[in-house]
Amino acid sequence: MSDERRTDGGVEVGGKETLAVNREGLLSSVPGNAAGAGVALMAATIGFLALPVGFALPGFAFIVMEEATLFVLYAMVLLGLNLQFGDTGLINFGPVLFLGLGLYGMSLISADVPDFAAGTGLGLFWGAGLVVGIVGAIAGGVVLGVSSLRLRGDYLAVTTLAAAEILSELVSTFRTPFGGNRGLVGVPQLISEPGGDGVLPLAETGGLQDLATLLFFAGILLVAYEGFRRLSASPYGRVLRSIQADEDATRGMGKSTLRYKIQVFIYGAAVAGLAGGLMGMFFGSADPALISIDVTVIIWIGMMIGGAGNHRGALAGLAIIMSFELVVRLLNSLVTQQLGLIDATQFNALRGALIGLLLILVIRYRPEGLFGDSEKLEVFK
Amino acid sequence: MGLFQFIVFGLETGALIAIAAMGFTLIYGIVNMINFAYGEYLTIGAYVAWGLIAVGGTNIWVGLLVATVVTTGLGWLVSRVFFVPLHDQGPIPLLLTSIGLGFLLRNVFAFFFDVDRRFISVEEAYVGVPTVTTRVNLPSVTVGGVDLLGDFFVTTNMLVTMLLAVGLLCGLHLLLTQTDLGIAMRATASNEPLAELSGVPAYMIRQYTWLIASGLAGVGGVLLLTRESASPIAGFDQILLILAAAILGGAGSVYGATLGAAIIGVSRQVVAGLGVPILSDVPVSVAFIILVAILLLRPAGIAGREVSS
Repeated sequence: MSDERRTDGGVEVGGKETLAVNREGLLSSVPGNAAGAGVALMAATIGFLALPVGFALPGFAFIVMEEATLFVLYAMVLLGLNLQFGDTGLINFGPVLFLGLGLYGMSLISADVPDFAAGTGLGLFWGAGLVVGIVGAIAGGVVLGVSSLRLRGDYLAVTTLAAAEILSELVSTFRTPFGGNRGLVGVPQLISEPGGDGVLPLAETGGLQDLATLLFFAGILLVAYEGFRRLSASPYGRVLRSIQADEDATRGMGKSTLRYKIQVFIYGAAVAGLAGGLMGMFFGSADPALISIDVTVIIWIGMMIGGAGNHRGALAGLAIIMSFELVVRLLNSLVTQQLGLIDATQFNALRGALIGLLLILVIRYRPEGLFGDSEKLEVFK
Repeated sequence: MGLFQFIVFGLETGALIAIAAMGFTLIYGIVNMINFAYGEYLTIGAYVAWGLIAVGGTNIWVGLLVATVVTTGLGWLVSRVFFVPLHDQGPIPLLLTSIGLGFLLRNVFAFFFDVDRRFISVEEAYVGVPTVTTRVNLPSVTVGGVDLLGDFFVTTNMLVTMLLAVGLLCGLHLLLTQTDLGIAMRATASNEPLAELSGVPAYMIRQYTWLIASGLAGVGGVLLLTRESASPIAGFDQILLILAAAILGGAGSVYGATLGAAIIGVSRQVVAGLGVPILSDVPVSVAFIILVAILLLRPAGIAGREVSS
């Protein structure tokens, strides 16, 4: 990360520069080429699948793995969001829209919906679903970007948030083709039990399906991380940061700032669409609860806690908030059933209230986050 | 039912949105923020009124009065704690805080009141005023399968909503044009540094704005309860319509907001009633399409204030 900082073009001088390098040094022990590690992880997962091993995991492990998988998927969305907000200063408060377009694109094309279930799917090849999901998300990004990116910052936030709400309303209202509140089932899974219809069946029965999916997705995340990190560190990323710092000046330098903004929207939409498609391949289904405004709020909080404008820091922030979610989920049955203190609705409300409060507190007291640089966040000045 | 009936329905919907949009747009103009938690202020009013009328057994007038006063206080308190300390930081931190606050408040409501919808009996609540349904017979003028005139009816509840909206607009007009406070509010909205140089205490003006906007939300919340119900998301369901009305009217203008609300209310009911019934299933989507169309075609709104960068 310190290398990346030096390619910034360094208008900062003296002590401040040193300080920034030192702070990033905390996280710089992670290997430099994440893409290589990601490809290796994916290959290792596939190799591991063929081994005739299988062992049962304890019940809580499935909750841990589900939250970990959600972390990986949200992290992909976060990479795009961080490019948009942290680098360019665009307030996209509807990243879940693109996740949703990917999820439902994948599901409508590839789901083999049983007769008794709601909704319709074409039951085509999974790859086609993934591609349609990503293309659909990109199309959504172009439409929203071209129409809204000229607006002032707070109106952009409102239109993106509203666009995400609209998708959520449409899919939960119409049973055909979206399956309404129950969603779509029968989406092909990436990894399935032996003899299942997943893309990669396991060699041995056991509890390894979720773990293998998680590891494979983590590999994809590492590749995406490397891509976005390089994009931010390159001269292209420098243009984005200069748009945030002073858009008029950037336009004066001959850069078409609107084109850059639309491109950034498209990159974010594409990676979120991919995450949405993968989400379908993990759960084997799509439903409106997976794309509620909660997801947007969680990803934003993660980015704000970690520090917008710093991919690694933002991912660390997301890990913190997802750990909180995990702890809450593990405590759920203890508090609501075994101790019987409050009912499940109240418990869920308490969790939501804490998350809302956290967003408020971070924005007020530490808008640059734990690992971010307040000098770079122009929108909070 | 003919077109005229849907226009009446639309004016009633519009009146409710107008009351809230007036408060929303005052905050937009004077505090310079999009308050995405404003719907939750309405929810506070709806719950307080529900407690008074359904649990406490008071009539609707006591409920309206007390709920408005309580919501004014609670709304001001919430704003004082969450928004006032950020007033000088610009629109973005305020907007993000309001999104977080909305999330927080909706969950607080769900914690204390469950997620069920709470109703009141409107007939029982209107003590002393007959809840009549007035029917007006008009001839049918059918053109292309659509009755352009037709019979229509108005209930007391609908009339009260509409009269309150008109009354509050007149009250705000008098406040903004005839009192020192109102003139100082307009000065702050149009040019804050200049107003401060002229001796307007902008900090105090913003506090008064929060009070007035909270009071309007209280009235809107009570009407929301009589029209629909109180639930954790009752106000949130209205926020996009409120926002669209305020932007259509030109953010900052109470007259524009009222007109915008009337246009949105009528067009929504007429389109859903006569044209495309499916649209009534997806109110948020319709509000959003109206909102985006306004932002793209006329970002300055009817009264003219620029929102593009």
